[in-house]
Amino acid sequence: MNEQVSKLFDLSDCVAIVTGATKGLGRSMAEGLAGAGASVVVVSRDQDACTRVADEITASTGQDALGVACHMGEWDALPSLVERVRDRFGRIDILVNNAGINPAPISVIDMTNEYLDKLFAVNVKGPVRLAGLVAPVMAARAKGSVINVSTVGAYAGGPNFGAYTSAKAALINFTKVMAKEWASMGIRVNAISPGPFNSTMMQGAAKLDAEFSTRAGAATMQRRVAECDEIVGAAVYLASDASSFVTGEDHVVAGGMLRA
Amino acid sequence: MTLPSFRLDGKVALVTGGSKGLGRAMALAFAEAGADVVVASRKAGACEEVAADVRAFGHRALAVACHVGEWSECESLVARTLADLGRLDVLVNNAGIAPVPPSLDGVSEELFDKTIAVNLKGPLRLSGLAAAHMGDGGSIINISSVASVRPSPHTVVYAAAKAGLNVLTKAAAQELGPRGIRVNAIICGTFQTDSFARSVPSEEASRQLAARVPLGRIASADEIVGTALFLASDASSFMTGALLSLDGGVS
Repeated sequence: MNEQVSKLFDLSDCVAIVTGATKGLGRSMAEGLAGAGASVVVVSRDQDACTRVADEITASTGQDALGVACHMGEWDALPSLVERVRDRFGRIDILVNNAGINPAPISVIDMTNEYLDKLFAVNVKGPVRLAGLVAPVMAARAKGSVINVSTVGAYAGGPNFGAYTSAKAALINFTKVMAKEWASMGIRVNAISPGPFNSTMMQGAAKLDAEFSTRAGAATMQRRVAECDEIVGAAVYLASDASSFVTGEDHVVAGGMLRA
Repeated sequence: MTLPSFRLDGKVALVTGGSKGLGRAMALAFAEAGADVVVASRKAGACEEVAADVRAFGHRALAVACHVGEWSECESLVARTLADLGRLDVLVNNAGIAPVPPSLDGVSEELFDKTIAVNLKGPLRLSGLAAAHMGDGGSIINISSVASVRPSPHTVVYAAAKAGLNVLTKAAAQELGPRGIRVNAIICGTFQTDSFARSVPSEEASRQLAARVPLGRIASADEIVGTALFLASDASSFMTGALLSLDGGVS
């Protein structure tokens, strides 16, 4: 590849944290960022899975990868994650807040206090807290890119998935807030809102409703469900200097699925 | 896994308004990324200069003088592209004009018609003509403006035309999606281009504009290149009908 254009998407020397990185979209993004030259920190709840995926990424890309177990719903566990990464790599350039949960569907009438608290803890509070801890580390080098993974459902609202889709909508709003608060620190903050991907979450939904995937694919302009690797281009684009003037923007990667 | 490629090897890209500013930056970046490039604008000489720069990257280039506001000139542009380069994979509807009327009742019929013709009529016609010859993996990129979502009195006609371009993007994406052709728009904020320099002559005015951008600056023309390559290439294979803001955080 020609020097100038290839450099735009190059992440050599960068350190990226990807949460929820042991499977699905998170794993694809972690491996994709490593493929673009970044060292990656693979985060999920299960240390064994993190270690295994980190090793696999190193094997396939030749990049340094570290697996760190952390529960995104535990506010007080997040500082030690950031400290661990700083100690090991000395810098953080990219944060992909990908971890999220979307448990069994439940109507608003039946929703419990515990259910809402858990959903918002993992899908909103964790990502916001982690970004808040990482931003000062990025600011020390006056450069960084935060990518919050939301969902196309954040626009339409999903019946019986209200806690999930509204939490993800909150994350988009936080994305815009962070972008404005941190622009002067050299940190760009953007969101990616995936539509139907052949992800772990989609496979979970298919267990409850065999036609879910087919219907979701049919609802896109491209008439299909995407493979997880198709998220990687957006992640590398937003992580790299290729998007140097882009901040506060949600990138709907949903095959043109209508927002409402 | 297959890593995303932002390359355009073996593809043919057509850029309108390709002789200067953002259009020129995209034409040269596409060549760097491996594409043969058609450079279209109203001035043949200026197109030829950019075409020569494209050839310096080792790729074929075609310079075509074209006024995209004329239906027949759109037809001959696409016909020449196919005749000379054999295919068409990427269309960038970048040509645009933004004449400033004194007031709403000061908008002349000529200004209205001209602005709509170049910013909306041309892109619609070119999209239809180009898509007819594109296969799976084709990509159409419409260059829109932040004015389309945040209009101001002096941009009234331009903003309306660009808002029309946003809608064209979504409608065309629906029609062409099943055929594997993607259509997206880039909603540009303030860029340092020739036309910007003409419309904002003082440094003080330029500083004031930059102060309103969260990133605190005006973009260089080259900063459109990353977004254009992302949308033109298979790296964005599951994105269509999207309006992507490239504005330093303004919207």
